[in-house]
Amino acid sequence: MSNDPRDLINRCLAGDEAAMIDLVERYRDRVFRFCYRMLGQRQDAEDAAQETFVRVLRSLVTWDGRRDFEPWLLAIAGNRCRSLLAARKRRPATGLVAAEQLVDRSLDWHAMQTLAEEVQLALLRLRPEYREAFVLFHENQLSYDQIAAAIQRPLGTVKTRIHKARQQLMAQLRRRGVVGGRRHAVRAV
Amino acid sequence: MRCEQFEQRLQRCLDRRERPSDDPAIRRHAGVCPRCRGTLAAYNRLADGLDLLELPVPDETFSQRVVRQVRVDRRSPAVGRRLAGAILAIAACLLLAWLPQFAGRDDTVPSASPRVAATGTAPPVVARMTSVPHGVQSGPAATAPTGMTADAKIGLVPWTIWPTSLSFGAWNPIDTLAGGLTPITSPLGVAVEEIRRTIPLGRVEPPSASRGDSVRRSASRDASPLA
Repeated sequence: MSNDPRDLINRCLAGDEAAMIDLVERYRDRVFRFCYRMLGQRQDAEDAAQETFVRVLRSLVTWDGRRDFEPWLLAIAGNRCRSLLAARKRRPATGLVAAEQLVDRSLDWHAMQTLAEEVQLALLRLRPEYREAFVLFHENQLSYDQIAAAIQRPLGTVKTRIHKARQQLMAQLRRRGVVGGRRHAVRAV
Repeated sequence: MRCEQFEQRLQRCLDRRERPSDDPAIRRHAGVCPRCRGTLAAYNRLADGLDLLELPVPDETFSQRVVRQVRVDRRSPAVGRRLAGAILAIAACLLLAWLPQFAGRDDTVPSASPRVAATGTAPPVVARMTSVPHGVQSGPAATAPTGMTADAKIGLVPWTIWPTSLSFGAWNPIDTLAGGLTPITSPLGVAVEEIRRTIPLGRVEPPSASRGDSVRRSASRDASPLA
């Protein structure tokens, strides 16, 4: 199967439901994981991913065929996640408490599993805009240019966000004793 | 390599999605600087943690659910949109019906409705026309209908009294049309009969019949129940 989704998209535009299913199948894991990293809850992530694909299929006609499809798709997913995060702020917080409870340091869990959970927790504590840029870069493997297009921000802003996300992740992991050592007093570039 | 250069090089590695510990220069510096060694170990641990992150997948029916949702949305437009359309239609009808009553008045134009003027309850509201209506000859004020000024104002009145407000009978008759044509002045029935006479199948009497005969014949036909 070719990586270029244009044929699939053209068939979707013609109303071919099998092509729609193929398109969703092709990107669902990446979109779902991105939503999961952003929201930290499986159910919310599934809702956000579903809404994302429904919107994408409805507005495929507005996609500019000269641009990459995946950044556009992830931009819509990012918008959905931000909306859900904003709605969550207005409600009493329940999700992050559950994530916090995942890490019970009194239990002798496998070190690697604990590390993964700590990193996930630290990710959830980042500012959403930092988290979005960081996940798009590290997990979805988008280039800086693609991220800039997806989040509609200048390249410099994207680099700054990813860099700050990294710094804050390290700071949180240090604070929780997951990683040792202290940073040099040098200015980060 | 100094510690500042180490930090910069480390960030560059991370930007290229490379493991900093794979860079020989970074490893060399970390070997001689305990603090940078700690920093390198911390970043390696973060990279490990990122690699170990859970990779959840949505359930098997995810794609079908998405397409089903799209299908449902296509078949039934949102109730809200339907409701908004209905409200807009009702509002537009109400506006059309009642707009004349709320339009601004112009007291310089004489009342076009004797009945309303007599009662004095609801004098006609006046609007200024921006263009001359079709069929109305523009020009001197004498050709304008009674109650209109030379710049083509007409009385805008509530629809409930419209038929009695505009007295079209007061308009000056037109005697000639362009090109020497004569306007039809006979009643509609006579005009129709005249047109029918020009059609071979509709010709029922000798062509010498006068217009008066046609009128009488038409009147007798109208009176006959078999006509």
